[in-house]
Amino acid sequence: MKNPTNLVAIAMLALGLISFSSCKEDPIDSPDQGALSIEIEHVWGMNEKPFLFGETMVHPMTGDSLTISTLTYYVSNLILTQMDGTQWKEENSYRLIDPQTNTFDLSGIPKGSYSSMTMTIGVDSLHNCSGLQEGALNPSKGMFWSWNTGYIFIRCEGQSPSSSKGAFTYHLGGYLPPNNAIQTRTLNFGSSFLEISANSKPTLHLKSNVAKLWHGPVKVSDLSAVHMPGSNAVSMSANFADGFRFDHIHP
Amino acid sequence: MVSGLITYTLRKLPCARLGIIVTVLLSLEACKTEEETKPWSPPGHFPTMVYQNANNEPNAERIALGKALFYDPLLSSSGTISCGSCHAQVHGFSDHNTPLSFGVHNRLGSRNTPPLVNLAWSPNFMWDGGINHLDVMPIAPITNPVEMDISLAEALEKIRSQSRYKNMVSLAFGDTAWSEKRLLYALSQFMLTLQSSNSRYDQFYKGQTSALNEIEKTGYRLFQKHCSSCHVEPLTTGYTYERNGMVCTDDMGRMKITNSLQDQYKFKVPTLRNIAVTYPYMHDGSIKSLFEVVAFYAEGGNSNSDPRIQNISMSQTEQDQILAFLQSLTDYSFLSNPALSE
Repeated sequence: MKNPTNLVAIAMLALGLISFSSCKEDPIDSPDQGALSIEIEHVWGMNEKPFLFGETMVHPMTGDSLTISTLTYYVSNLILTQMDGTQWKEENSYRLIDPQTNTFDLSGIPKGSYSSMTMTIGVDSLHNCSGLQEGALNPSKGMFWSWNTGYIFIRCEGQSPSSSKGAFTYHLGGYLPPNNAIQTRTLNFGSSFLEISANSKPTLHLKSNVAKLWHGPVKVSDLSAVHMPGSNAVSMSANFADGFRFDHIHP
Repeated sequence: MVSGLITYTLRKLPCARLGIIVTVLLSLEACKTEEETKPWSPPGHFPTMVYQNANNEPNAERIALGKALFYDPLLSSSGTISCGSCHAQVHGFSDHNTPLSFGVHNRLGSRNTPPLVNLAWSPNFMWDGGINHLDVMPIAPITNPVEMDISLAEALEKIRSQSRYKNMVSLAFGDTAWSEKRLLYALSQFMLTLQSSNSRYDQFYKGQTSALNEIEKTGYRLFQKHCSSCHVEPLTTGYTYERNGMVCTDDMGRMKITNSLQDQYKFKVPTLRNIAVTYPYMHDGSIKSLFEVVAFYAEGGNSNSDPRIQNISMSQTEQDQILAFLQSLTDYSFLSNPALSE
């Protein structure tokens, strides 16, 4: 490169390209927004005994011995609401939760004091009809019915001597009425507030009582398998969603 | 702004003239209208298409990739079964005249292979309409143990190992990465090109009165009287679920999807395009000839049939006329189009 003007021109071009790429607004650095962590602690029974994933537990209502080897469910369409009703809806809000993948972050939340969170257990109707999707909604995650298009909202499998087959398999899904198993819960923070600001990242602690899945009671000897949408999927998913509660906020 | 910088840079170099020519050529390229670059357009006499995917607009490279994948037995656990194994062009993209189909290791399926035709107009797929979007349709046969018996992840691994796909995926999607999305989008693109709209029936429908002879025309009128409320024109199906009386298997049909007793033994109304070459007929392939199908309907079906079918009564002459008409649905340009061939 004998001509120094060429170097200047190329350097200017490079600088121009670099400055364009950093034009995107960084939500975390914005003074009007903040981030949040959510942790879902899985527990067992009303007394909230530890949830022993992969180990044998006795169901407090049915007495069945259950060893849960799979527990995966969709948490989606998260909404945070302030006292005056102002809502923030997370975009592309789809996550797969299991006992080992139970914490996640939210960002880009407008600064404010939030008094409740709404969550959906499952996947909304629209996204059950939108064809091939990615991320948590990728059909390769084992949470998708290939022959009856739709997501498995809650997947729970394991062993139990009470089951005639020795195992239980609950694949709970379905979004078409009257077998709509999509569940929505709004969890109020009671006298606490979730303070969102640019300077902090609080943690919202929730609890999920997994034993509620068999609330009813649902004895494994009566029902050890659900493989399609229907009234069993609806009632079991409703009970599971009912098992979520707000615990505390760590500022 | 960036193009301005590039032009500025080019101007400073001794070969400035070349830079200007390149810039002009690039802007001319951008001026090409969408019409010129679209590989296909829907037939004018068809209703509005139903397939929607703004990220999968018709594209020649994606179609080529989809076709290669469609005919590749790589997408099966045994390496012996491709989509084309059961969806053969010569049979209107249905199976080789067998009631049920064989997948890997000679495993037998439970329903007759439907013909793949005019899929852009179908709101749902399978005999029970269980699949609601073309982009996720292939997941069912690919992962079904009695069909291709392979997970999407394994299929993608096999595809990644083939050097012949590297260039094709790069042309179709911009780089050599593979994903479920790219596999399914490409397959959809090829399947959408399986359009049959050029039979003699279509030509008659569009106004060419000489396209059908007198017997066929009479048969057409009978078809419109007795058949087209379910086999809606011009697609020859309204994609509704009906109970035509075929209750010869354990198959609950649409009820399997909706859980509703009302839907028991109801199956999706199939297309009649190229019906002469897609035998045998019905969801279980239990009726071998068109003659027998028409005779079944001509006698009012059976006690399980929809009341509209039970009301049908046709003489042998009328049946022959309808049979003649049904032959006119064969679209030879579709069956022999090399663009769709293996």
